Amino acid sequence: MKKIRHLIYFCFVLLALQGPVALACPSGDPSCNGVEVEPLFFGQIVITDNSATRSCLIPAGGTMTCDSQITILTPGQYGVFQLSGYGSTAVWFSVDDSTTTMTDPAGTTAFDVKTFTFAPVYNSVGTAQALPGGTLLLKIGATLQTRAGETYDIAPYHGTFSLQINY
Amino acid sequence: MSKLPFYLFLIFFSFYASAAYATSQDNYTGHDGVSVSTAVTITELETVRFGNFSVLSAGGGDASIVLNHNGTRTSFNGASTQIVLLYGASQGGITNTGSQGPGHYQVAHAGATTNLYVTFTDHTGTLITSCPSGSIFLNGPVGSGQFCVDSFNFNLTGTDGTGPYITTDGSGNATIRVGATLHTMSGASYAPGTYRGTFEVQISY
Repeated sequence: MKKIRHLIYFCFVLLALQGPVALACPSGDPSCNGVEVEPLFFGQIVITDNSATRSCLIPAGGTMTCDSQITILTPGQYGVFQLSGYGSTAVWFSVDDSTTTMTDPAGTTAFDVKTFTFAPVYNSVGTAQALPGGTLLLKIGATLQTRAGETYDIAPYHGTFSLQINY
Repeated sequence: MSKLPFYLFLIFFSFYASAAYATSQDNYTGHDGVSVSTAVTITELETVRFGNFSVLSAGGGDASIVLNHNGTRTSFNGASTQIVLLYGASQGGITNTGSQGPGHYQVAHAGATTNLYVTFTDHTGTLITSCPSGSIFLNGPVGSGQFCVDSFNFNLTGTDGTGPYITTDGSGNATIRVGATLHTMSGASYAPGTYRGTFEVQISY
């Protein structure tokens, strides 16, 4: 009976030790890595009417579509990140879109970039996702929004976003 | 002493619980972009006109008129067929001209100092190559033969790996002046009249 009790205690100890091991890649650990494979690109477009906010949607892993007031000359492409080193850790993907914009070279005119989406998606953003083998090609989509009444000159518009991974 | 394992369990379990629900965070910077263009327009201001001429000893497919994009034209006689260029008001043209002229195509809204790559196609979008196949044809009076047109040229600014291009001005405009070469066709006879055909100017940028 005493041996059984000790065995149970030993199991509890092992279980307790498993906690910190599960956090396989704490922030700053060089074994965790995220590399941008493809930027999120909304292609080449012509805005024919910007009297109201217009938008273009690139689904994560899908094809770009725009409102009828935006003509697509060259379709865009969702972004791709390669994540590695996360083991079987459950992670949450998110992008804070409250300040994500794309601006012209002068920085005077901007598009807003909203509603980032991710694929593969098992449920919804914020749901814990275990990375098979610790590596994942994460596809990232988003929605481009014009600012109503703004004049968008011919130019390339660029911006950045921060892919946040919590685990 | 007998309760030591229990306390050890509590310590480890507490550590496990705190570790298991602690969160860590990594941030990676991604890039996004879009290229904004405008709806480019092309307007035909003048058609390509080979002007007034007569064909002598028709039937050979070996005579031609080369119309340069600057408006000059030169005839080339074949062994069997000759072309005589006609000038003057009596020939239906303005004095000292033969009514010939390059095509004028006005491009607008293409963006300042943008290179526009120009190609010429038939109405199906097939690139015009050389006569008699892969070209366009001019049709005239009923019963008459066709002229074949190829070797389209324009007032290019330069050529790079993509092809010949014309550069727009600071307002995004450009005037493309187009010339071409007209050929007589073997076995064809040509009644007096006007001969017309169509082609397409395509630009990419």
